[in-house]
Amino acid sequence: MTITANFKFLSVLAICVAVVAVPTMALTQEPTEEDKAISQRRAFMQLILRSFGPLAGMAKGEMTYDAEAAQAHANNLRALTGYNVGGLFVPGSSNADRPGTTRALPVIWEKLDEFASRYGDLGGAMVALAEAAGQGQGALAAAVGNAGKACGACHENFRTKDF
Amino acid sequence: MANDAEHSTATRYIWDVPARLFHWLLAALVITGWILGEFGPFIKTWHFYCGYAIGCLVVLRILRGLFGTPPHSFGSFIYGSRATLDYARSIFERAPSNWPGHNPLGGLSVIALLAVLAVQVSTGLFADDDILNKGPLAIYASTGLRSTLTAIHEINSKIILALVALHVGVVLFYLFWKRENLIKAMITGHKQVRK
Ligand code: HEC
Ligand code: HEM
Repeated sequence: MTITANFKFLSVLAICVAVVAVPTMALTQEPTEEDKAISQRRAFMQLILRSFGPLAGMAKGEMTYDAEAAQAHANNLRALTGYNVGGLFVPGSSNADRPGTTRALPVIWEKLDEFASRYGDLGGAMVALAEAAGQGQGALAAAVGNAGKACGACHENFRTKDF
Repeated sequence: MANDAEHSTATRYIWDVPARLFHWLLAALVITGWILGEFGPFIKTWHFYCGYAIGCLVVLRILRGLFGTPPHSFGSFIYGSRATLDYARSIFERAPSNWPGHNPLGGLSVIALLAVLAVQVSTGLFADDDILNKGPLAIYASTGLRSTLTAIHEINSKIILALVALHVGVVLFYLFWKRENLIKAMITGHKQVRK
């Protein structure tokens, strides 16, 4: 009697623990290296856009040109694009490996040299942008256009439009 | 017979000024807008302006199709499958169609062109290159929807290219094979048609 009651009690307890613990373990499971790299590089791109957006606005005449603000954004962009992004593009984190979470194409890892050189072009464009940003709206607009092309040249070949 | 070579013909005023203005404005804007989108300056301001103008023309044309009179109303140039097949069978005859307006296949091409342009303009309004070109409605769409519509904008631009090439090709086919000058009719408005 008591043995069966204890047994019953213990089985119910075990089931309860399992019901609570399994999903909790799943919830608290550490994201993989690949998942982290994906969210971090997407955030890195968003950080670039945060500084590039206002400069684009000034270049297009949608925002009034402000030499000081433009210079500050351009300095940030120059610093940001000095960052080595190699670690953000870990193998196994393409859109083929992680569909729906990234737009990075597998071709990045097949043509790493070309990818790196596109990123180098961006760095060069940002150095030029930092030199032009304080020199008036016209100079800024030209440099923004060139930098935009450097972004586009990489997205065109290494990123899909849709997830 | 849908396309009897024996029929007697007369010259009639078919394409009025709004129709011709619409046609050539649309042609110029689509070509300009397409080239600006694909090869133009990276800042796409003029591409947007072309797109808005095309959007206005398409809306006006749809209104005319719904509420206008023949040969402009949709009802007057959307034929049944029977008439369309009859026309398609006779298309290789080496004789002018002398059709008083859009023939059954031409009518289909009008609908197809308006449809792809409507898709192009509406996806363009939400398109975003994530760099510095953003359609005015992009901020109202989620990242996922925005990227899907931007992808459609690119794919559909290729479909437009194909349909425009087909359109021009068929007009040249009428000119050289069927010896019917549809281009002149779209310039002067006067067309040789069946009585
Ligand atoms: C060397 C290549 C390269 C260059 C240059 C580059 N990008 Fe990217 N960018 C990528 C890749 C790859 C992705 C896709 C990342 C992903 O989905 O994992 C991306 C994604 C983005 C995204 C979307 C981020 C998200 O939330 O998914 C934005 C915004 C962006 N880039 C902006 C820019 C801007 C602005 C520039 C230029 C100033 C630029 N990029 C230059 C490679 C590049
Ligand atoms: C019928 C009219 C239009 C045509 C034929 C057209 C065509 C094109 C083409 C060929 C591209 C280049 C696609 C690529 O290879 O990346 C493009 C890009 C673009 N268009 Fe349009 N477009 C039209 C209307 C519009 C409108 C109305 C808008 C917004 C107001 C718009 C916004 C954009 C944007 C933001 C891009 C850049 C997308 C990207 O490259 O990621 N377009 N368009």
